[in-house]
Formats: sequence, structure tokens, C-alpha cells
Amino acid sequence: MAANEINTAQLVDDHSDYLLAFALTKLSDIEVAKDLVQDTFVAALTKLDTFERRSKIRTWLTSILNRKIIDYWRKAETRYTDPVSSFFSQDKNAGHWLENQGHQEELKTVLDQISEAETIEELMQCIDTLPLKWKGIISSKYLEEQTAEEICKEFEISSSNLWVIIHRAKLLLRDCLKHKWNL
Amino acid sequence: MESVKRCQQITESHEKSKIVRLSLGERMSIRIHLSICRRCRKYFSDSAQLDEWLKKRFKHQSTVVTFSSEEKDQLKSKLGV
Repeated sequence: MAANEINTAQLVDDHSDYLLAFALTKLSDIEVAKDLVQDTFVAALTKLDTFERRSKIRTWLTSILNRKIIDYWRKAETRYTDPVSSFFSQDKNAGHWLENQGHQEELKTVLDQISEAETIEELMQCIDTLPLKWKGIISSKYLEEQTAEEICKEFEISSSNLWVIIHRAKLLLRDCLKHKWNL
Repeated sequence: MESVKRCQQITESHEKSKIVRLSLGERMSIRIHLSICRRCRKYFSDSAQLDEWLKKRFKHQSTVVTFSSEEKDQLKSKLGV
């Protein structure tokens, strides 16, 4: 057993921070992310004998964590309505997106005034306001650079659903950034 | 006839085009619409800008959160080490 014990401690030392960073790209709440990483190690240890050495242990742990994150989303998702960008607003008071945009700056025009690092920092805050599942999809696409098929499979959505979500998410991110910059 | 709905379709098709190849008809209608719609041209530009920022944002995360060593020890003891 001694060998096994060393492995476990080593496993935590080697991979826990990586897994936490991974979880945080898909979740906003640090405590939730830490809990899920813990659960991942617990699950991994009970299944350690089923681990086939064809994949790297980190990859294997990540896939367990990923399933836990998806389960978490499913639970969290039961009650929410999709947010809608003002782009689609039919409400006259909210303003027609074609008419109510006196300041029609493109996003890239702010780069003259704000550094890119700051911009990306603000973008991160905006991403945290997206629904969890959308945040996950965006991070799968841009961080892990997964293919469209992989993302659709993982999130159980159709490919048309995928571009609809990306489209809406981008509109919301744009609204959010413009709001921050008073554009 | 320009409407919110049309612009919604066009900008959505634009995101679609980044995932699957559009039909010739779809590509043509986007091109025609873009030539007369400034707002959609802005969306196309903003969409590209967001792609660029999103890639950078995820490439180097600015805040790195890690487990403290106490938390790691707790985790290890929970795992029976």
C-alpha cells in the first residue's frame, strides 16, 4: 500500500492546481470549483484500478472533472431564462438597436484609449455574467480549442444550437463591454 | 426590407459560417445585405475583435487561483493519505 499512498499525495501535489485552473475557466465560483476538484480526486481514487495507461493521468483526471462540471451545470441550469441582448429587443422603450445607438463605435476603436490587458480583464468580468453553460461553451471553444463536434457532444446541443449560442453570447459580451465603456 | 429579424439572421449566419460552410445562396445574401447595412458590418467587425480577445483572454489567465498548502493537506487526509 505504501506505493499507493505516495501516489495519492503526489497526485494532489501534481494536478490539483491545474485542475482548479481548468475548473475556473468553466465556473465562476471558486468554492464550487474547489469542491468539484476534491470530488474529482475522490472519484479518481475509487476508480484508479480502471484507469488505463493509454492516456496521461492528467487527461484522465480532467475528463472526470469535466463530467462533474457538466453535472453541476445541469443542476444549476434547471431554472434560468436565456438573457437577450438589446440587439433583439422589440420593446420600444428599450430602443431599437438600429436607432438607439447614437454612439456607434466599433469595439476595436477603444484600443486607442484602453490597453488590451485592461480590455481583456473587463471581458473576463463580462464572461462571468453569461449563463454557466454558455461560459463553458465559450471556454471550450477558445481555451481548449475543441472542435465544434466535440463541443456539441459534450454539451448535448445541436450544431445549429452552437452558433446560436455563440452569436447571442457575443452580443451580450459586446453589450457588456460597451456598457462598461459608455459607448 | 430591413428589420431586426433580418439582421439577426445575417449576423447569426456569420457565426454559422465560422463553423460550417455556408451555401452559395447564404453567402450571396450576406454579401448583399452587408453592402447596405452598416450595423451588420459593425457586428462582423466586433465579432472578429471578440474572437481575438477571447483567444487571448483564455491563453493567459491573469488571476491564478491555487489551493493553499493547508487545503492540499486537507484534501490528502480526506483521501486517506
